[in-house]
Amino acid sequence: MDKKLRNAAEKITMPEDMKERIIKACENIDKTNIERTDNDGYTEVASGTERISRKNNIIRIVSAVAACAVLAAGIGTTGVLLQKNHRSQLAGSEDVDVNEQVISPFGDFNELDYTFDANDEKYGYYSDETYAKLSEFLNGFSWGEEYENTEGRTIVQDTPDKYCTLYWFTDDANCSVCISNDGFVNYVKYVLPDVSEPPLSEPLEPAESKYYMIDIEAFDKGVQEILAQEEEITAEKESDVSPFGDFTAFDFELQNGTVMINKNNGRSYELVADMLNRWDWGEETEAQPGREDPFAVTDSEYEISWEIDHEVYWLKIAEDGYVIYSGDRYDEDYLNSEEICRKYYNIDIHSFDEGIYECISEAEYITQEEIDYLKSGELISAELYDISSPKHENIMPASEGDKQYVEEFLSGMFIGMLKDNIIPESQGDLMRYSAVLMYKDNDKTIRRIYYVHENGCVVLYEYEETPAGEEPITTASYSVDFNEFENFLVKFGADIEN
Amino acid sequence: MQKCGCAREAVEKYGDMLYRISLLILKNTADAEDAVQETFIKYFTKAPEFADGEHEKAWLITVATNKCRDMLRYRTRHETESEELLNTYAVEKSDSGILEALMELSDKYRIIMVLFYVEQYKIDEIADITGVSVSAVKMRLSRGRKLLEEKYRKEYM
Repeated sequence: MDKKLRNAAEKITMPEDMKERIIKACENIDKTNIERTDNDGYTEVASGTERISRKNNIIRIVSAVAACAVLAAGIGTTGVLLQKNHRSQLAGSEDVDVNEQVISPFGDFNELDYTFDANDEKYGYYSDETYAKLSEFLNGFSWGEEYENTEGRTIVQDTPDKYCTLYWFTDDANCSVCISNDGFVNYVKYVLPDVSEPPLSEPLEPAESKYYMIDIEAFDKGVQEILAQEEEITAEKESDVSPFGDFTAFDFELQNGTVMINKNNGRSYELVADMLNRWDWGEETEAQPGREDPFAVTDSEYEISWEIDHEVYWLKIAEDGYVIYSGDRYDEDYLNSEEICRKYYNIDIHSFDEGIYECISEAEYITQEEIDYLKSGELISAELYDISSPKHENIMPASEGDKQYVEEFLSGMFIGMLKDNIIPESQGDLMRYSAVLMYKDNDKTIRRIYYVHENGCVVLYEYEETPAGEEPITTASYSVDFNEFENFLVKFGADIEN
Repeated sequence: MQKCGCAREAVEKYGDMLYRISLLILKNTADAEDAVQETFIKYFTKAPEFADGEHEKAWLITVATNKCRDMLRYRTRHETESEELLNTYAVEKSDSGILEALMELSDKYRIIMVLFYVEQYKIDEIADITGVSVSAVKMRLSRGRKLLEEKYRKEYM
């Protein structure tokens, strides 16, 4: 069978036209890579690579390697969580040096999937509109000449002197720009080692550092103006309701093929309700001939229905984006009804589809509140055990550097990777790891043990340590991408091979 | 930056291999093309230094499989194109079944099996390429092979 598989697979070759497209794309990189010097004297790399794209950009997530960089650079695990939640900007993010002319000395912020943490406890959770304005501002800001930094100054993470931090990841590097309250700017780039190399035992050294001294007052003024508008945007969005009413105020059901979303779906339902409220349904249109009657439309991609006091409403969305909204009022016994409304709209079905999909995938992960709860308290220790072996071996790395990475991973990023969709607990032989995290919370000592199964099931047991012994607080079930979890452990040097 | 003239040479040398791997992982020609194109673009923009040809090949496979995995994570609604694959590549009917059976395996088995059985990498090399532990590679090979046999015998023989 092995030979059969190989023989069959070897018949797969790349079509010639595809080969030519790829060659052309690669050759374009060389042709368009030019160095130029701008008016301010900065040397910039303008890489106007035109990719030979057959379709839109590939949506990607922060890779394991990029996530590794978060720890290496000491930005902390919050960054990865933000990247996860700041997903709307992910499409099209790739290395800085591709496609666009660089505008700021750090790259084109319109193209970077960055997080702007203004030390305002919002951790960069701003709307896309605000990010668009920030990008424009950062690109156009006068960063000045590169500063020599003869005093060897750096900006320490979490220092109160820090004004803000910007950070972003690429496939093999992470970058950050820290700005202090006096205008000192420190840009650093960490390039990660090849994945085939063994994990590092010590933190990475920056591959590139740049310093600037900016007019912090001008910078602050620009930033504050933009962030002030964020509050208006948020308030405006919160008041949004659909032309059919407030989807958060009644119970609705959405059906798409075999997918059904109703109030039992918890977070997906809330996100979908929010999306339906904010969706741009456009202006009312005329009925299409032959498609006037809601029940005559048989190509419904989506059917959304709800009831308010014996009034039943339907939204039927056809696969071409044609929407029929209709309502019927029923009598007490639901025996007779009369139509009370019927309207027609046309929407972009592909965007709608993507929006629904985003809601469903976003809802997979546990909420920020849950993350905050699971991370509450001061971490005292983190241990990792291989519980598939009879001895329940401690597999924390021996070196202090790697040990710290694994501790940070378990107490931060791992919690952000937890999903709400519960997988049934596997039998004992598939229970693979236990992560034991001890926290000090006021005068309490809390122990949280996560049992990670090979099928992705994660079960949490939480205890409070008291003089009388351990008292159980709670237990909860989650799931995790086991493959990804193990990949991180390998990257951070946990000894999982034994 | 790799030299301009190398683009054709590199794509000719590694294109089929990367495309084969990407296609077997992604089960979709369009996405496979994207993965291969992204891989080569990274190869030319990053221009890494390689110790030898094997190192270069392993680097390309690592980048391509990582790209494929990223794409798989977010691609839940594009159905497979196994029919297309069957028509395009499996000239002999006997070949089609084995590829179709492989396509039905979960991607965590498929990636490992393609590298082991098709590209003939050793277990420790696969562990390096995929970032998975040696024991996990062994386990996946063993389970993947079992699943493949079951599927193939049950559905395609």
